[in-house]
Amino acid sequence: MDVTPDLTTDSERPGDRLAGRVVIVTGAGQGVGEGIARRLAGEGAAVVIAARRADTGEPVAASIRDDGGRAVCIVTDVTSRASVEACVATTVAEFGGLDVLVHNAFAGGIASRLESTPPDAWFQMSATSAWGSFWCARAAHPHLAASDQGRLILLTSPSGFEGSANIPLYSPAKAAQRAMAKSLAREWGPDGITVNCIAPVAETPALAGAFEQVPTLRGAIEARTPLGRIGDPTTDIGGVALFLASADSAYVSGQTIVCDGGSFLGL
Amino acid sequence: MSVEDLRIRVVGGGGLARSLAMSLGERGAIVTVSASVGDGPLAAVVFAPWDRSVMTPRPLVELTDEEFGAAWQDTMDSAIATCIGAREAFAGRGGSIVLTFPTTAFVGGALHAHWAAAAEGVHILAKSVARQWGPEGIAVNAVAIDPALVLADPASAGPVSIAQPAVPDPEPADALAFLCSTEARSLAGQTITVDGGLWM
Repeated sequence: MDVTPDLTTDSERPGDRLAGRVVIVTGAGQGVGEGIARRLAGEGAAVVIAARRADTGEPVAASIRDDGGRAVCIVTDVTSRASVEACVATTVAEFGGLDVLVHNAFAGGIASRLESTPPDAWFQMSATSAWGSFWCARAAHPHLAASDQGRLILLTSPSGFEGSANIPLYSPAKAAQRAMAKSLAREWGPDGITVNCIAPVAETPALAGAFEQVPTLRGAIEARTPLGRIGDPTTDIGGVALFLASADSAYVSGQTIVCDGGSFLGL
Repeated sequence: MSVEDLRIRVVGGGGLARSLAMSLGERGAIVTVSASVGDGPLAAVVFAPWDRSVMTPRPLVELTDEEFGAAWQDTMDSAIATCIGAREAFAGRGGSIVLTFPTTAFVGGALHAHWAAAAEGVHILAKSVARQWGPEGIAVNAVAIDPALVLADPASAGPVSIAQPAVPDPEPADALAFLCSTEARSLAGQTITVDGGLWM
């Protein structure tokens, strides 16, 4: 009998937990969104890479297809209601429905004092987080309600619990999404839709940018993280997204899963 | 109760009060208003913009951009402007900022996603500002209030607890007064919830 242990991780082993499901992931051209898209595609979902720029979104979609998955890129600006609605409409036309929408896209987070935060930075943060969640939720609702496994997943942040001295308006922008998720969990429960949040800390271009702005930040995060490392978008964050997108989370709604290596323990 | 009715009530109780109109979203308004009063340096600012006449329940799928903007964007822009204006008016002397919000922020509310977003945004803004301005002697804290005080139809948010209120008719005034006082200057980014114990 072969007793050699299988060292292949679950995230590397193709599965079928989302076979037949249609998923949109916003901000999937890089970072956490890309990781989630790859993980869900690896479980059989047809994935729409909703990215602001084709030059980031198309290569991700092509790479997923090269790996045997189903993916298309739809250029989407989540700060535009029309663009979000077009993305959802195109998805439904292409794949025949929509089961899961993951809203991850975010922009505008720059280190600043509150009193000198550029108005455009606040506009970007507000537009991508709160407004983007509103428009994504509104456009997706009829399709999620028609699915037997409708899921809305919003990407928030541990900073949305704790506040931030570095990027003060990042925190309320992310906090708003958590409150919206709780409200929609109540409002859409009767439609059979679950609404949850993920609060990740992961190696992404956005976090790399934050490390450039605040050089001490990486050390501070690693020092307070029991698991001693910053998360991987595909294996660490994608796995949580898979749980929330799958049948395994059918009785979980209005929750935030903090996926940060055990760093934030204040709940 | 109108602002003027409130002023009359405070004066009737032996206190001092003025009622002044200002645009909450205008960043210089607090500086202008506090300077015009001339009763001495500003020591505390309470942010309580919640107006039950506009805090109406709406299914998210029926919400217009204008309604979402009035709830989320206008409230947050006002909260940010209030904090910045208060800091300017404190002029380096330190002071207290207290942001209020309904507990809908914590528990959500069916038909109230727009107001819940604003409420939780204000809640967490208090933490960010407390972290940035604490070293300047500005204490920023929050009071979470019963949605029944502010939502046009609190019942529309649905039951959020299987419990009855532990304290009937909760009154947030004392908690607000404490957080405005110099005795609370050691607190930063904290929230006192005054909802009768519905949400613990």
